[in-house]
Formats: sequence, structure tokens, C-alpha cells
Amino acid sequence: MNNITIGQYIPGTSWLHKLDPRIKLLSLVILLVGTFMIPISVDLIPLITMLLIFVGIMVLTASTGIPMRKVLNGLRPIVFLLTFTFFIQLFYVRTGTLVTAPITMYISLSSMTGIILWLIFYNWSKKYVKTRILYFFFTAFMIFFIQAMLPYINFSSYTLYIYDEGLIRAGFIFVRITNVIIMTSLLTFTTMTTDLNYGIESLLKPLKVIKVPVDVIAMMLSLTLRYIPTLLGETEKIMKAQASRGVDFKESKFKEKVVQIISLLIPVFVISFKRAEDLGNAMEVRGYVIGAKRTRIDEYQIGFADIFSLIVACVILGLIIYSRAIA
Amino acid sequence: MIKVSDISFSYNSVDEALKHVNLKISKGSWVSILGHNGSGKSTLAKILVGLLSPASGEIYIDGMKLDETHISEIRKKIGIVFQNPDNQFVGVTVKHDIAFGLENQCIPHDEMVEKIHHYAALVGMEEFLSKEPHQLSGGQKQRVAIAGALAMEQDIMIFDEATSMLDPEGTQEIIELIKRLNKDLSKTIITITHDLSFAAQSDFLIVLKDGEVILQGTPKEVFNQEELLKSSNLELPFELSLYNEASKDEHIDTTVLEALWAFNSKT
Amino acid sequence: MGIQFKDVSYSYKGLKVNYDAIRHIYLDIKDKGEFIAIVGQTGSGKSTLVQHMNALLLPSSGNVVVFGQNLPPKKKEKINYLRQKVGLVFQFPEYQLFEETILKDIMFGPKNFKSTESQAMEMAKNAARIVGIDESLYEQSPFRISGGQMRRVAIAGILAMEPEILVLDEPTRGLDPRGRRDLMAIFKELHAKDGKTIILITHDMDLVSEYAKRVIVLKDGNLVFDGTKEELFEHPEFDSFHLDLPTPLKILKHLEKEVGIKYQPKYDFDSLLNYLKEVSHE
Repeated sequence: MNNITIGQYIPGTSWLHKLDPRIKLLSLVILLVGTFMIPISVDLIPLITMLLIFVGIMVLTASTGIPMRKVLNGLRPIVFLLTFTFFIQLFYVRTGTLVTAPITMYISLSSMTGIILWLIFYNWSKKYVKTRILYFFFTAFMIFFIQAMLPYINFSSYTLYIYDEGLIRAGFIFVRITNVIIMTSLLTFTTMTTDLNYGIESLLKPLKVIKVPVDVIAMMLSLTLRYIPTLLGETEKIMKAQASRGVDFKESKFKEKVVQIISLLIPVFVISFKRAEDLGNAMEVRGYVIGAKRTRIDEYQIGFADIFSLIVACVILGLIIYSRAIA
Repeated sequence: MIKVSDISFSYNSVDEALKHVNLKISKGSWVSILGHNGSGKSTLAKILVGLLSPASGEIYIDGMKLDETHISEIRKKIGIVFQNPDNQFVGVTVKHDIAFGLENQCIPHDEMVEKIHHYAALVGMEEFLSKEPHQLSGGQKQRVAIAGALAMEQDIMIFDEATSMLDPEGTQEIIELIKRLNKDLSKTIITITHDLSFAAQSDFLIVLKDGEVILQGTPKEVFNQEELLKSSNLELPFELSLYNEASKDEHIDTTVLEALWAFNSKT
Repeated sequence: MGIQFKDVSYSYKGLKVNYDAIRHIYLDIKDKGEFIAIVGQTGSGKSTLVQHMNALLLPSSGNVVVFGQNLPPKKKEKINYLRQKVGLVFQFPEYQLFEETILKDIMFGPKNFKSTESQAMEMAKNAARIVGIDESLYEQSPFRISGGQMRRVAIAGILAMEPEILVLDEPTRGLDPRGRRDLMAIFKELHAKDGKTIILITHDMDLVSEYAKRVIVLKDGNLVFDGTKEELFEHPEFDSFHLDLPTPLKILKHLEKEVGIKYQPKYDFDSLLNYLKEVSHE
């Protein structure tokens, strides 16, 4: 039937795949905290730490057998954010020494036309390019390059000051965001959603003390995961049914679009409510009582690899905190 | 055995979904409850598994009264497979779904693993234990539901239109399985259906119309009442109408008639 | 006009491999007077096939011509209008209902095809009448009626668009015998009165036997048979199609095996009964 599997799990037998999900999740949280605790600065130590983390992650990725391409593709959704932050840092930091002479940027007829032409070219040609992310960065760079190179029929201009500190800070944040995304991707690639679910549930367990209904939340999470592919399939069927009644997202005005979206949402809601009722009945008949004690079919054991990984993560965090303290 | 005495129920205190229903279901038998849409058959099923409380009347299951205090005991005796294969599949995989009921009963881990494999094999789904529900057909999902109920070792199993949403292949799978459950595992089976061809193979039929029992008896007895069935929007399947008409002709050999009747047990 | 398939194949893109749903289909469907049943095992490609008829799916290779429109279309060609000409009703169509009132929901289709409010209302009322939805229900919520009625409202929603060809994917699935009969009567009437071409996907051989004039059999994505029902059920290679026989024929085969009555194809109740009487009176 469907080719989708829930989540992004890529089957494998690497050590990372075999780690207990609780440990993986905990280690990820520790490392994320650590990554954000490295202060944004132009000093040597934070820079090296951040780069070391990047190298470490690359090594980690290689050891899992997950193709690098897949991991880097995880950056696709935030490519815009990455580029935006990079350039903002680059052009707004005015401390340090100038890297090059100030560059005059022209907002002119020629440069605007050039940019528009380039964007059209980019849109058309991007399907032929394999490394789309790099192509995107290149295009962003081109937008500025064109502004610098075509002054003809000028309306206004501004000056770009590129300072070394700006460059460093921009690079720093760029690498930081990349690190965070890749670390999280590695987790989802090497952990089955059921295991992730269990991991989250376990880590939330302490909250039981303050009366947070962890078991219920875990069950809700589990049911949500179970139903995502089913719902996607049903949504597709409804889209086709409504398309057969003339709904066409491409050829319609805004006002029509609103009704069309409603024609998709309402059936999905109706199905979901009926489902909730039926499911509640089924669960009740099978003896489910909210909050009651239950045994679990999944068993997880913590081994040496798990304890070792956790220790490493803690050590890394410790070192980062230490380096902050002495700075 | 199940004893239903004078059960009445209403969803909105205006129309009565069930009116003074009385019936007995003996242990190990296979009973089919027939009726048009809205006749109360699903309501009755929900009352039998304790999802709804009757407005009046009593139900005894194996001598135990069906009420609030006994509900968890009763749930160990009686299970149900509903119509929509997707809306009762709780687990992320087949294994997890069969485990669900066992987890609720706090069965120890190793015992669970054994039961899951045993009952998955019984319904022919052992190779599918790690599959996710959206990778299964309707018939396969219903088989998993049956495995889950079997794993809870309930003696009485209700099938509420369990094949309505399946294609003919899936329907056949489930029908064969139900027959095995009754014959080989001695489960008491209650099937709720409007498929009279299927119902013809059970031991005993109960016909509901507008919340009341209008007919009960063996298939032969019930199918004789063609007019009464028609008034409840139930139509005799082709082969049974043929049987009825053919019986009227004295020249048609009894062997032919018997063969016509037996046609059903084959399908 | 009508629909023509010329060497049409369609593949679904899978994670690793492509899945061929239909292969090299040649088909010619007239826009009037046909009553076609499309049969085949689950997964044989029936659903994929009919979704090409209203351009929901475009062929991976080959082309489909629907009322003169070539598919796949050229770059800027609009094809939405085809969905009005070929009305497609999916399985369990009651899931498509969403409007506040039944009448509004039935009007949804016509309005999407540029009918005015009053035109759409006229078409909707007409369609409601055809499927037997009473005036008193027009202002009701479509969610407060029975399942069987919901299905009829959904079908009315397609009929209201006044399609020239009606395609239905297992319209009777999940209905009780009475509901099945009532629904099929509606299609039979549409066909008889206006000569509307009706195409039905079904697993129910009895439905095929009783209503279809032409049967198309799919097997593993290939079209393996296109002819009358008699030609189908009496086909020497019938077993290879993996289909059921209609009940009357099944009974006759069963009687031949159990009591030795010679098998003669009889398709309906009366002729079967008479045959039994004939044979017994010898």
C-alpha cells in the first residue's frame, strides 16, 4: 500500500542505532545545551570548540552508516534562515578590522534587472542541480555581487562594510545552527519512532511528581504517531474526491480557496472525531484505564555503550562550562 | 452462557433503541444477530461489552451480573471486533497492537511475547509482527484485532459488522477464521451482520427490528419467514430464495434441495 | 467523443522501485449508452485506471483522450473542466460531505464549475430528486442523516454537475442488500432514461451479472478481457482472471458437482428455477 513509514528512521546496525533511546535523547539534550552555551565571540577558544563539535558530528555521522547526503538534506528546511542570519551578521557587525575596502552597492535599474534575471535563471535551472543547498547559497551571494557590479541607471546606493569580526560571527552562528540540526537529525535517523516515544516518555517520568499525566501524554503521542500515515492517506483521498467536484488549487481565486480548504478540513475533522469515539470504545473494551498500571511489551536495557556515551556527553558539557568560567 | 432479560435503551430519551429485549445465548454456540440499520443490533453489542448501560433490565454472563462492580471481570470474558479496521488498531505495529490488551492486564513481559507469537500465528499474521497498520489490508487489520481478542483469552467474541468494510477476499478470510474460532477453539461467537449468506452458517439467528426481537430460531426456521424478513429490510440471499421456491415444487428431488441448502456452508 | 486510452501505462514512484499500476491499456469508451463493469482482484489497477478518466492522474506513458482533450495536456492547458464532464464517485463518498446543509453540499460541485447560485440550486434539487433525497432534508446538516442517506447525498453531489459519463468506485460497498438494490436502481434508471454511460468498479459479480452490458477485466495492471458478461463467464480461461462467478452460476456448478445436474449457464432467478424444474420433471 503506502511507502511511507512513520518518522525518518533509516534502518542500520551502527552503535548509534543500538544505543538505548533514553540515553540518546538525554545525550542530545546535554549536547544541545552545551552547543548553545558556547558564547558567540571572536575569541579563539569558543571558535575552536564550535568547530570541534562540527568535526565530531561529522565523524559521528560517518560512523552510523547514514549517507552524508541525507543528513545534509535535513538542512533544506532552514536554508533560508541560515542564509539570512549569515548575511545579517556579516553586514551589521562593525567591530574589528575591515577585511576589504568598503564596497558600494547599487540599487539601480541594471542591478535590479540583473537580480530578477538571475532569479528567473535560478528557478529554471535549480532542478538540474544536484547540490541545491550550495546553489541556494551561491544565488544569495550573486544577489549581492550583482548589486556591486552593475551601477548603471542608479537610484540609490549604500555601502557594505565587511569586518573580520562580522565574518567570524556569521560563520560561528552558521556552524552552530548546522550542528544543532544535524545532531537532531542523527537522532531521528537512528531511532525508531516507537523507541523515541519511549525515550520521551521515560525522560518525562520525573514530572509525575508534580502530577503531570505522563502516561496519558505518552499514549497520546503513540496514537498520534500511529495515525499520521493513515490520516495522510485519508487526506489524499478526500483531496481527490473534492478535486473530482471541481476543486482546483491552481486555477482559483482566494475566496474560492478558502471554501476549498474547508472542504478538506471538515471531512478530516469528521473522520477524526468518529475515530476518537471508536478508538475510545475499543480501548475501553480491551481493558485500558487511564492512569492504571500497565506492563510494557518493549524492553530496554542500558549497557556499557550507553553509560559511556552519556559520560562523554556530560564531559563535553562540563568542559564547555569550565571554559566559560575561566574566560 | 449469556442471559439478556428485558433490556431497554434509549440514546436520547425520545426514541428507544432497544425495547424489552430478551434472549439467551448458550455456551459454545454461534449466534447471528440480524437487523436493518438502526434496528439496535450495535447498541445491543455495546451493552453486552459494558460500553453502554441499559435503561432497564439485566444481563448475566456466566452467572455474573453485568454492572459497574463486575465490569473488569466481565471484560475478561467478552471481547469485540468492530467494523472499522483502522479505528480499533491501537498499536504502532502489529506486535504492539496485540500486546495492548495484555499490557492493560499487566501480563508479565515474557508471557506476553509468547502469547503474541502464538495468537499471531493462529490468525496467520506471524510474519507481519513488525508491520505498521497502514501497510496492511483491511482483512489483515481485522485479523490482528482478532488475535488481540484471542490473546486476552475471552470465551465470548462479538463481531459487530466486522466484514462490512472489507473487500470479498478480506471478508472470506474473516469468515473462515470465525468458523475456526467456533469449531476448533469452542469460542461462543456472536456475529452482527446484515449478510444473510454468512448468517445462514451460524447455529442460531436473532432478528431485530426497530429495537425489538421479532424472530429467533435456527436458520431454517428463520429463513422460512420470508415476509417477516422483508419487512425488516432483510432480503433472503439468492440461494435461499431459490431453496424456498424450489421446496414448493414436489417434483424437485430432496437431494437437490439439500444441495441448495448446503451451498451456503460451502461459501 | 468519449474516452480513449492509447497504450497507457502508469507507475507510482516508490522509495526504491517504481510500481507499475497499469500497463499498456487500450480502451475505447463511448460517451453514451455504455454500462461497463470494471473488475479484477484488489491491486489489479482498477482505481488507477478510472482516475485517468477525469484527469486526476496523468499517464506515465501513452495518452488518454477525454472528450477530445489529450492527456497529458500541453504546458498551459487547463483540464479541470474534464471533472465536470466525467463525474467520478470514490468509495465511501460520504466522507466528502462538509457543508452546513445538504443542499449547499450538493451545490458545491456545480458552483465550482461556474454555475450561478440559482443554476446550482436547480441542478442540486434535480440531483437530490434523482437519488431520492426528500425536500424536507435540504436544510438539514449532512451529518445528521443515516449512513445510507449520506452516501446518496454524496452521489447527488456528483450528479448535480450533470456529467456526461458517470464513474463509480464500488458505490455499494458497505451497504445492506436493500441499500444496494436501491442505489443500483438509480444508476439503472439514469442509464435507461438518458442513455448515460455508466462505469462501475465492483467486486460483486452479481452486480455485474445483473446490470453490466460490458465487462473489463484487469489483472496485475493488464487489461485481460473486454466483452459481454456471457463471454466472460463462459470464457475458457475464466479461472486465470481470479474472479468469482455470479451466484446463479456458482449454484449451478455446485449442483453439478453434488447431484450431477448438467451445468448450463442461467443468469437469473426465474430461468434457474425453471431449469431445475425442467431437469426434475424428466
